[in-house]
Amino acid sequence: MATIINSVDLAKDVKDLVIFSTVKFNDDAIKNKIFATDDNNFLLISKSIDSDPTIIDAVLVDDDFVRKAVLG
Amino acid sequence: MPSINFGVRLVFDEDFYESEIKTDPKLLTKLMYINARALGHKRHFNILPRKIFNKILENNGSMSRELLKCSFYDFEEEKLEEIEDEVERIIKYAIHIIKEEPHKKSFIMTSKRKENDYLNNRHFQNSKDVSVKAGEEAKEILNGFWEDCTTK
Repeated sequence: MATIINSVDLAKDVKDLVIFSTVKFNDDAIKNKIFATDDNNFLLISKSIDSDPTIIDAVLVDDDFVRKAVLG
Repeated sequence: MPSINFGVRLVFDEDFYESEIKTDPKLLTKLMYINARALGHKRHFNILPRKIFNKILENNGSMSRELLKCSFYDFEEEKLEEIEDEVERIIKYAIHIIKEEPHKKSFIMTSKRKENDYLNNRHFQNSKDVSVKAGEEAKEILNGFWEDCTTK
């Protein structure tokens, strides 16, 4: 079973990770979504870290996302 | 995006989360930006001692570790985590972190309800480089830091 790690990062930092590393994508749509996100926004990134690190999901962390997490 | 020297380091308690963030969830987003832009302490600027970090996760099922970790650094200093009294523990974390450059002062961020617990504690009274910021005053400081993040 793949090991999945999640992190919330600035989109700029995620883009730098993609540009300067060999991380792969489950789907090109995820890569497009990351690069379409404003540098100053935050993304929840899910990454498989087995032999080939692969980004498997990217979700925009906006005010609504945060409000639901805080208030349930 | 340049890093910003906020001039102080911040330590938060559970009451700040339960009283201030829960009544104004956007504060958590502002803390994400502040944590991401702090000079010398990127992602390590807003301190939430680990015992409190874990307690917040336990008590708030909808909050995820990765989101909370983006806003706060779950700092663990073994000797400090052993202190049972939360007020004393927070004060000692606030004193401990001012040894780290570039910040020489720290603020304890709490609720109005808890403010006097810190001010009347003998460990706090012995430290001139630690201040307590509570309720609206604490929120104004965070709003000022967040303004810096959006304009610099």
